[in-house]
Amino acid sequence: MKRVNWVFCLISACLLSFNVLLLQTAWGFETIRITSVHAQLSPSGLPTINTPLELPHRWDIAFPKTGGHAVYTAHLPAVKESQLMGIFIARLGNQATITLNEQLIAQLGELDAARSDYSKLPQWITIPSALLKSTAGSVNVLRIEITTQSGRWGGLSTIEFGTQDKLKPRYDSNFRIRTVMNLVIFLSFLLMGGIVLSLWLMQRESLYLIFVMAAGSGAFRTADRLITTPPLDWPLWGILYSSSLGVLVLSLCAFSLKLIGRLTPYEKWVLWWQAALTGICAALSLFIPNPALWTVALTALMPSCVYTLWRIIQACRVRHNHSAWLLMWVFVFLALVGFRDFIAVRWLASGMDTSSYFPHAMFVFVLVMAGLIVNRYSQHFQQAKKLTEHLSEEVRIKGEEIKLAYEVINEQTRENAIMIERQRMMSDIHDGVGAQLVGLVNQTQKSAYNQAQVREQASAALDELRMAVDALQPSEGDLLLVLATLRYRLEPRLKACGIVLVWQMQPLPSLAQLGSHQVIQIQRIVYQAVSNIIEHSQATTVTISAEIWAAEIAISIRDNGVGFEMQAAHQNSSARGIGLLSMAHRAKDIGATLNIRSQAGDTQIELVIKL
Amino acid sequence: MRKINVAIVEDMPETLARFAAAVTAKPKTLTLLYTASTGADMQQWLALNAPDVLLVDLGLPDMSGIEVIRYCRQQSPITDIMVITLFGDERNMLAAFEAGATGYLLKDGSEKEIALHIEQLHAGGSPMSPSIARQLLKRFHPVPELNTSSNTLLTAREQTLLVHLSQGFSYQELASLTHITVGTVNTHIKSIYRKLEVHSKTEAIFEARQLGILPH
Repeated sequence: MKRVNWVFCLISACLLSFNVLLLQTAWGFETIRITSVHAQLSPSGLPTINTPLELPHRWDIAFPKTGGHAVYTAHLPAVKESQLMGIFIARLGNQATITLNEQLIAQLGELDAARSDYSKLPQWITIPSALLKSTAGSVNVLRIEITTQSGRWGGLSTIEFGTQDKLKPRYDSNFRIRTVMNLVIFLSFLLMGGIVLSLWLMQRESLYLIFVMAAGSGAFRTADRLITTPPLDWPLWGILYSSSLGVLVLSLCAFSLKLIGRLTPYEKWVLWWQAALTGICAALSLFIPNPALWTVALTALMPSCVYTLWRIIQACRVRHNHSAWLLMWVFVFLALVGFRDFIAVRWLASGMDTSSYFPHAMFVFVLVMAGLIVNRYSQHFQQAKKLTEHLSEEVRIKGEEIKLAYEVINEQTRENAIMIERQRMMSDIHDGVGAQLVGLVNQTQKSAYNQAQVREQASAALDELRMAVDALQPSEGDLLLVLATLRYRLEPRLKACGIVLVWQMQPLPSLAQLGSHQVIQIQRIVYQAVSNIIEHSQATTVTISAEIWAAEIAISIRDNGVGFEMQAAHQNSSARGIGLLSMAHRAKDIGATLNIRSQAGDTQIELVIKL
Repeated sequence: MRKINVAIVEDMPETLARFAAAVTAKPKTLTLLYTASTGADMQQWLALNAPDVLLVDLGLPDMSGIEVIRYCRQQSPITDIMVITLFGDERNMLAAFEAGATGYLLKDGSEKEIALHIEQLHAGGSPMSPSIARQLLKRFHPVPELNTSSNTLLTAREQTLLVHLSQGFSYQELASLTHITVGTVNTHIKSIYRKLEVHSKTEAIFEARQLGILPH
């Protein structure tokens, strides 16, 4: 940010020193200067005056409220000179016809054609040697006829006469001051205005637009100094030109106010109205025409400038604000220059040879404004960068918090799942092995217990334990593996009873819902069915099969035993009845259905699981 | 017929006593050569002796039973090794097979069953639970990068047997399904266990090469 400012200051310094250099080359030349002429002055609507005059002659001072027509006649000495001669006139206008010894030597616009204004640029007129009288005592008559419009800085400066060698460089340097310098300023205005305009288009900050207005009016005013024939007629062009000064000054005020703080709606309102007022005054002063009105308009800009300066000084006092200090010094500088111009040009009216410094001072101000905008822009950039850093830090922190919260939730979910699983295992063991062991203890407490029954009960308890452990193995949705494992457990018992097991298995699809709870329930149902067969059916063959239909898997346990009465089995509270009830209950628990049909020689228990 | 020499390593005294009793209860066919309650004792003994059948509990106090199995395979390749297990399908059973075990005995089996299984294993029979068959199928899943020789891959027949075993079919059913004898089924199963051992070694070499431990 600092570096940007330094670069900017350097560029400004270069531009300024260039200007000063140009000004310096204009000084220190010796020429034949003509300061006395005879004049025939004809202001519009007034009688013609014939009078000797001292140059420079500024029409607006002599006739403030009217344009008119004038003929200046000067006598050049006879010259015996082989070199090429010429005339240098710093300022004349607004339109002119120049003759020497009644021969036309220069035509500057058409007389009375008000659009053109040749007073903006210096004039160099080469005199053909043939026209110059060289006889001693004879005189060369230089006749300059002008037409001028009110308020347009018309008239005639001093005339310088000499050889081209000596005089042309003076003209050239004067021309440079008034063209090249203005061109540089014009282009600078255009460049800065263009850059800030694009900034405004991107960011829509009114400060930038105010700067564009200032730079635009500055560019407009500088461009005017470069063209002798503007695109609009006089005085329309004049109104625009004068109004642009108001716009420039007021936008400088608005810019300063906005930069140091906030432009209140009231201030804005006043500034807009003042801009309008300046425009109206400019129009009136040229139409009526009365330059005093324009002076009033310019004076009226003063309060705004003074108010702005006051606000700037306040800002300087309230806080350590570099921008405010800089603005204050520039404002003071501008005020001094403005004051000097006001005194020198408007009131003292030293005339045609005096230039106004204010446009150049304005340029300095616009440069400072551009610098401040760069400064502000880089500040905004820094702020945005800081904000971005801050936000990314916030996002990072939030992300970590979320991650942490997620981990906590995850941990809770996991613990919850473990707890549920643990409870399920506890109840499985309790209902299975526990129940069998309780039965076993009861058996042994009977006075005369049956050894075979005890063994049966003990091996049932062991089977329950094995099933509980098998259910804990990951089944990976493989129902067939579950059934196969169960068979692996049951096979020795069936063999011991002399029952033939027929195993009919189809490959089955993977069952997503096959958790350990489902596994143990399926195992228990099949186990119960087989146990019933071993204990009650007197069967010789058991067929266990698994089939898949459209959306169902059917596990069937079929035997060729004595069978049972469904009604009776359900009603009486025999072991078998309780077994059937608990099978149905378990099927319901896992969302499956249990179909039982029985007759002598063919009993089938079928468990249907929906996919 | 020569009697089958048996050695047992088991840290639980009751289990050890029951297994020892099961072996000594059949003096015509089985001889109990040595029992140990630690892996170190058994390794020391194995350094000088070669039993026909070694019964190993995997959860020994001083080392894993798998180390005893590995040591036994090195010292005495002809010994049939059986793992003493509660259910026959624990996770680390596969590691035991990879180390060289070819059978297992259920802890809660009756003394008669224990003796019968020892005799069967020695005669060439090898039990396999559906869950082990399932794990083996996964284990032998072909790895394309692995430059395996044919003796580490399952044959189509062996593959089929494993699939049917995992579906719960018995050896008899397997035999009739595939038109071979039960004896041949047993031979295949034993061959699968051996391949598992080789397979795991090949894999270890492959992994060592991948890690740069062994040269290619």
